[in-house]
Amino acid sequence: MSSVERYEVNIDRRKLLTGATGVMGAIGATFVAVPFVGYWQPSEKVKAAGAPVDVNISKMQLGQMLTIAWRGKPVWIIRRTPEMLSMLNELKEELRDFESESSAQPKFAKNKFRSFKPEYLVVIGVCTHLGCAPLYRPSVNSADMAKNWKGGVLLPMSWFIF
Amino acid sequence: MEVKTTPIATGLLGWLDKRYPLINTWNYHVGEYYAPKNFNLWYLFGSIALLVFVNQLVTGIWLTMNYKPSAAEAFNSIKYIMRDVEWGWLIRYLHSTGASAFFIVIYDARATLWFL
Repeated sequence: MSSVERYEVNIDRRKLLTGATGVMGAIGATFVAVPFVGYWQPSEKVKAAGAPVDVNISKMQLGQMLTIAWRGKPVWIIRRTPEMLSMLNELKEELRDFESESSAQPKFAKNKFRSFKPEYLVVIGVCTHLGCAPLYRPSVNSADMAKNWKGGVLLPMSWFIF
Repeated sequence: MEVKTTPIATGLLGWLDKRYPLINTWNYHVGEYYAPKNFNLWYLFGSIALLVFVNQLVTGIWLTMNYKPSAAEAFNSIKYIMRDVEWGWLIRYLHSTGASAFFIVIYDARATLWFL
Protein backbone atom coordinates (compact mmCIF):
# COMPACT_ATOMS: atom_id res chain seq x y z
CA MET A 1 0.00 0.00 0.00
CA SER A 2 2.94 2.32 -0.47
CA SER A 3 2.31 3.58 -3.95
CA VAL A 4 -0.77 5.34 -5.12
CA GLU A 5 -2.30 3.37 -7.95
CA ARG A 6 -3.87 5.14 -10.86
CA TYR A 7 -6.90 3.67 -12.54
CA GLU A 8 -8.24 4.37 -15.97
CA VAL A 9 -11.71 5.86 -15.69
CA ASN A 10 -14.31 3.85 -17.58
CA ILE A 11 -16.54 6.73 -18.70
CA ASP A 12 -19.32 4.48 -20.04
CA ARG A 13 -19.52 2.51 -16.82
CA ARG A 14 -19.52 5.71 -14.77
CA LYS A 15 -22.38 7.10 -16.88
CA LEU A 16 -24.33 3.87 -16.47
CA LEU A 17 -23.89 3.86 -12.69
CA THR A 18 -24.78 7.56 -12.38
CA GLY A 19 -27.87 7.03 -14.52
CA ALA A 20 -28.95 3.95 -12.58
CA THR A 21 -28.50 5.82 -9.29
CA GLY A 22 -30.60 8.69 -10.63
CA VAL A 23 -33.39 6.40 -11.83
CA MET A 24 -33.52 4.46 -8.54
CA GLY A 25 -33.50 7.75 -6.64
CA ALA A 26 -36.39 9.10 -8.71
CA ILE A 27 -38.44 5.94 -8.10
CA GLY A 28 -37.70 6.15 -4.38
CA ALA A 29 -38.60 9.84 -4.24
CA THR A 30 -41.92 9.08 -5.93
CA PHE A 31 -42.81 6.47 -3.30
CA VAL A 32 -41.77 8.84 -0.50
CA ALA A 33 -43.91 11.61 -2.01
CA VAL A 34 -47.11 9.49 -1.83
CA PRO A 35 -47.78 9.87 1.94
CA PHE A 36 -46.59 13.47 2.00
CA VAL A 37 -48.91 14.52 -0.83
CA GLY A 38 -51.69 12.26 0.45
CA TYR A 39 -51.47 14.10 3.77
CA TRP A 40 -52.90 17.16 1.99
CA GLN A 41 -55.99 15.34 0.73
CA PRO A 42 -59.23 15.95 2.64
CA SER A 43 -59.76 13.34 5.34
CA GLU A 44 -62.90 11.17 5.53
CA LYS A 45 -64.09 13.35 8.42
CA VAL A 46 -63.87 16.49 6.29
CA LYS A 47 -65.46 14.77 3.30
CA ALA A 48 -68.35 13.60 5.45
CA ALA A 49 -68.96 17.15 6.69
CA GLY A 50 -69.22 18.39 3.08
CA ALA A 51 -71.14 15.43 1.68
CA PRO A 52 -74.64 15.87 0.20
CA VAL A 53 -77.40 15.76 2.79
CA ASP A 54 -80.71 14.05 2.08
CA VAL A 55 -83.76 15.74 3.60
CA ASN A 56 -87.33 14.49 3.49
CA ILE A 57 -89.43 17.51 2.52
CA SER A 58 -92.63 15.60 1.75
CA LYS A 59 -94.16 16.46 5.12
CA MET A 60 -93.36 20.18 5.09
CA GLN A 61 -96.28 22.49 5.68
CA LEU A 62 -96.85 25.55 3.54
CA GLY A 63 -94.73 28.38 4.90
CA GLN A 64 -92.74 26.06 7.11
CA MET A 65 -88.97 26.42 7.44
CA LEU A 66 -86.56 23.54 8.06
CA THR A 67 -83.02 24.19 9.27
CA ILE A 68 -80.41 21.54 8.59
CA ALA A 69 -76.64 21.48 8.98
CA TRP A 70 -74.34 21.29 5.97
CA ARG A 71 -70.59 21.96 6.14
CA GLY A 72 -71.16 23.27 9.65
CA LYS A 73 -73.53 25.97 8.41
CA PRO A 74 -77.29 26.22 8.83
CA VAL A 75 -79.17 25.66 5.59
CA TRP A 76 -82.77 26.72 5.37
CA ILE A 77 -85.43 24.99 3.35
CA ILE A 78 -88.55 27.10 3.12
CA ARG A 79 -91.74 25.86 1.51
CA ARG A 80 -93.29 29.05 0.21
CA THR A 81 -96.99 29.59 -0.18
CA PRO A 82 -98.44 30.69 -3.55
CA GLU A 83 -99.23 34.05 -1.93
CA MET A 84 -95.59 34.53 -0.99
CA LEU A 85 -94.53 33.81 -4.54
CA SER A 86 -97.07 36.13 -6.11
CA MET A 87 -96.12 38.89 -3.69
CA LEU A 88 -92.62 38.90 -5.21
CA ASN A 89 -93.93 40.86 -8.20
CA GLU A 90 -95.21 43.64 -5.95
CA LEU A 91 -91.73 44.04 -4.51
CA LYS A 92 -90.00 44.36 -7.87
CA GLU A 93 -89.12 48.01 -7.32
CA GLU A 94 -87.71 47.48 -3.84
CA LEU A 95 -85.52 44.49 -4.64
CA ARG A 96 -82.06 45.16 -5.92
CA ASP A 97 -81.61 42.11 -8.11
CA PHE A 98 -85.11 40.96 -8.92
CA GLU A 99 -84.29 38.42 -11.64
CA SER A 100 -81.06 37.13 -10.01
CA GLU A 101 -79.03 38.46 -12.92
CA SER A 102 -76.00 39.82 -11.09
CA SER A 103 -75.79 37.44 -8.14
CA ALA A 104 -73.93 34.15 -8.40
CA GLN A 105 -76.60 31.47 -8.66
CA PRO A 106 -76.58 28.03 -10.22
CA LYS A 107 -78.20 28.08 -13.67
CA PHE A 108 -81.40 26.39 -12.49
CA ALA A 109 -81.88 29.04 -9.80
CA LYS A 110 -81.23 32.08 -12.00
CA ASN A 111 -84.83 33.26 -11.83
CA LYS A 112 -86.87 35.58 -9.68
CA PHE A 113 -87.65 32.76 -7.22
CA ARG A 114 -83.99 31.81 -6.88
CA SER A 115 -84.90 28.16 -6.73
CA PHE A 116 -85.29 25.05 -8.87
CA LYS A 117 -88.93 24.55 -7.90
CA PRO A 118 -90.45 27.95 -7.06
CA GLU A 119 -92.18 26.45 -4.03
CA TYR A 120 -88.99 25.44 -2.25
CA LEU A 121 -86.31 27.97 -1.34
CA VAL A 122 -82.95 26.55 -0.25
CA VAL A 123 -80.45 29.06 1.15
CA ILE A 124 -77.50 29.11 3.54
CA GLY A 125 -78.83 30.81 6.66
CA VAL A 126 -75.82 33.03 7.26
CA CYS A 127 -75.73 36.73 6.47
CA THR A 128 -73.21 37.63 3.77
CA HIS A 129 -72.37 40.87 5.57
CA LEU A 130 -70.81 39.78 8.86
CA GLY A 131 -72.13 36.24 9.18
CA CYS A 132 -74.89 36.73 11.76
CA ALA A 133 -78.07 34.65 11.75
CA PRO A 134 -81.06 36.26 10.04
CA LEU A 135 -84.55 35.92 11.54
CA TYR A 136 -87.50 34.39 9.74
CA ARG A 137 -90.73 36.44 9.87
CA PRO A 138 -92.99 34.85 7.29
CA SER A 139 -96.39 36.33 8.04
CA VAL A 140 -97.67 39.55 6.52
CA ASN A 141 -97.57 42.48 8.97
CA SER A 142 -95.75 40.57 11.70
CA ALA A 143 -96.23 42.21 15.07
CA ASP A 144 -92.60 43.24 15.59
CA MET A 145 -92.06 44.36 12.02
CA ALA A 146 -92.53 47.65 10.22
CA LYS A 147 -95.71 48.52 8.42
CA ASN A 148 -96.34 46.95 5.02
CA TRP A 149 -94.14 43.95 5.93
CA LYS A 150 -94.79 41.35 3.28
CA GLY A 151 -93.13 38.48 5.06
CA GLY A 152 -89.49 37.56 4.75
CA VAL A 153 -86.22 37.57 6.57
CA LEU A 154 -84.40 40.28 8.46
CA LEU A 155 -81.02 40.76 10.00
CA PRO A 156 -81.13 41.54 13.71
CA MET A 157 -77.83 43.35 13.69
CA SER A 158 -78.15 45.83 10.86
CA TRP A 159 -81.88 45.64 10.22
CA PHE A 160 -81.50 44.80 6.60
CA ILE A 161 -84.54 43.09 5.25
CA PHE A 162 -85.16 40.71 2.35
CA MET B 1 -2.46 23.40 -3.28
CA GLU B 2 -2.44 23.52 -7.01
CA VAL B 3 -5.53 25.22 -8.32
CA LYS B 4 -7.05 23.16 -11.09
CA THR B 5 -8.46 24.89 -14.09
CA THR B 6 -11.77 23.40 -14.99
CA PRO B 7 -13.09 23.59 -18.51
CA ILE B 8 -15.74 26.29 -18.71
CA ALA B 9 -19.12 24.62 -18.66
CA THR B 10 -21.84 25.78 -21.01
CA GLY B 11 -25.45 26.69 -20.49
CA LEU B 12 -26.86 27.61 -17.09
CA LEU B 13 -23.97 25.96 -15.21
CA GLY B 14 -21.48 27.92 -17.28
CA TRP B 15 -23.35 31.17 -16.63
CA LEU B 16 -23.32 30.48 -12.88
CA ASP B 17 -19.68 29.34 -12.87
CA LYS B 18 -18.60 32.56 -14.59
CA ARG B 19 -19.99 34.57 -11.67
CA TYR B 20 -19.27 32.17 -8.80
CA PRO B 21 -16.63 29.38 -8.67
CA LEU B 22 -19.28 26.71 -8.34
CA ILE B 23 -17.49 23.81 -10.04
CA ASN B 24 -14.20 24.45 -8.22
CA THR B 25 -15.96 24.72 -4.86
CA TRP B 26 -17.84 21.48 -5.44
CA ASN B 27 -14.71 19.62 -6.50
CA TYR B 28 -12.61 21.03 -3.66
CA HIS B 29 -15.07 20.17 -0.89
CA VAL B 30 -17.01 17.21 -2.29
CA GLY B 31 -16.19 15.85 -5.73
CA GLU B 32 -12.42 15.48 -5.38
CA TYR B 33 -12.10 15.83 -1.62
CA TYR B 34 -9.27 13.73 -0.29
CA ALA B 35 -10.88 11.00 1.75
CA PRO B 36 -8.94 9.11 4.42
CA LYS B 37 -8.03 5.64 3.17
CA ASN B 38 -9.16 4.01 6.42
CA PHE B 39 -12.84 4.73 5.77
CA ASN B 40 -15.15 1.83 6.62
CA LEU B 41 -18.88 1.17 6.68
CA TRP B 42 -19.28 2.67 10.17
CA TYR B 43 -18.73 6.08 8.65
CA LEU B 44 -22.07 5.67 6.86
CA PHE B 45 -23.73 6.74 10.13
CA GLY B 46 -22.71 10.31 9.36
CA SER B 47 -24.72 10.29 6.14
CA ILE B 48 -27.59 8.47 7.86
CA ALA B 49 -27.60 11.19 10.53
CA LEU B 50 -28.11 13.79 7.79
CA LEU B 51 -30.92 11.68 6.29
CA VAL B 52 -32.70 11.33 9.64
CA PHE B 53 -32.24 15.05 10.32
CA VAL B 54 -33.92 15.97 7.02
CA ASN B 55 -36.65 13.42 7.83
CA GLN B 56 -37.26 15.17 11.16
CA LEU B 57 -37.48 18.57 9.51
CA VAL B 58 -39.90 17.48 6.77
CA THR B 59 -42.22 15.31 8.90
CA GLY B 60 -42.16 18.02 11.58
CA ILE B 61 -43.36 20.64 9.10
CA TRP B 62 -46.06 18.25 7.87
CA LEU B 63 -47.25 17.53 11.42
CA THR B 64 -47.61 21.23 12.21
CA MET B 65 -50.13 21.45 9.35
CA ASN B 66 -52.68 19.69 11.57
CA TYR B 67 -51.32 20.02 15.12
CA LYS B 68 -52.90 22.60 17.40
CA PRO B 69 -50.48 23.63 20.18
CA SER B 70 -52.92 24.49 22.95
CA ALA B 71 -53.70 22.65 26.17
CA ALA B 72 -57.31 22.17 25.16
CA GLU B 73 -56.78 21.01 21.58
CA ALA B 74 -53.36 19.33 21.44
CA PHE B 75 -54.51 15.81 22.35
CA ASN B 76 -57.54 15.92 20.05
CA SER B 77 -55.49 17.20 17.14
CA ILE B 78 -53.05 14.29 17.58
CA LYS B 79 -55.98 11.85 17.64
CA TYR B 80 -57.19 13.53 14.45
CA ILE B 81 -53.77 13.14 12.80
CA MET B 82 -53.55 9.47 13.82
CA ARG B 83 -57.09 8.45 12.85
CA ASP B 84 -58.47 10.76 10.19
CA VAL B 85 -55.69 12.53 8.29
CA GLU B 86 -54.56 10.54 5.24
CA TRP B 87 -51.18 8.92 6.04
CA GLY B 88 -51.06 11.00 9.24
CA TRP B 89 -50.18 7.91 11.32
CA LEU B 90 -47.15 7.23 9.09
CA ILE B 91 -45.89 10.83 9.18
CA ARG B 92 -46.20 10.91 12.99
CA TYR B 93 -44.48 7.56 13.46
CA LEU B 94 -41.71 8.67 11.08
CA HIS B 95 -41.25 11.71 13.31
CA SER B 96 -41.31 9.92 16.68
CA THR B 97 -39.20 6.96 15.52
CA GLY B 98 -36.87 9.36 13.75
CA ALA B 99 -36.30 11.19 17.04
CA SER B 100 -35.09 7.97 18.68
CA ALA B 101 -33.16 6.95 15.58
CA PHE B 102 -31.37 10.28 15.58
CA PHE B 103 -29.86 9.57 19.02
CA ILE B 104 -28.70 6.10 17.99
CA VAL B 105 -27.27 7.31 14.70
CA ILE B 106 -25.53 10.35 16.20
CA TYR B 107 -23.92 8.32 19.02
CA ASP B 108 -22.77 5.71 16.50
CA ALA B 109 -21.35 8.38 14.22
CA ARG B 110 -19.50 10.03 17.13
CA ALA B 111 -18.23 6.67 18.38
CA THR B 112 -16.97 5.92 14.89
CA LEU B 113 -14.86 9.06 14.88
CA TRP B 114 -13.52 8.51 18.40
CA PHE B 115 -12.80 4.78 18.43
CA LEU B 116 -12.24 3.67 14.86
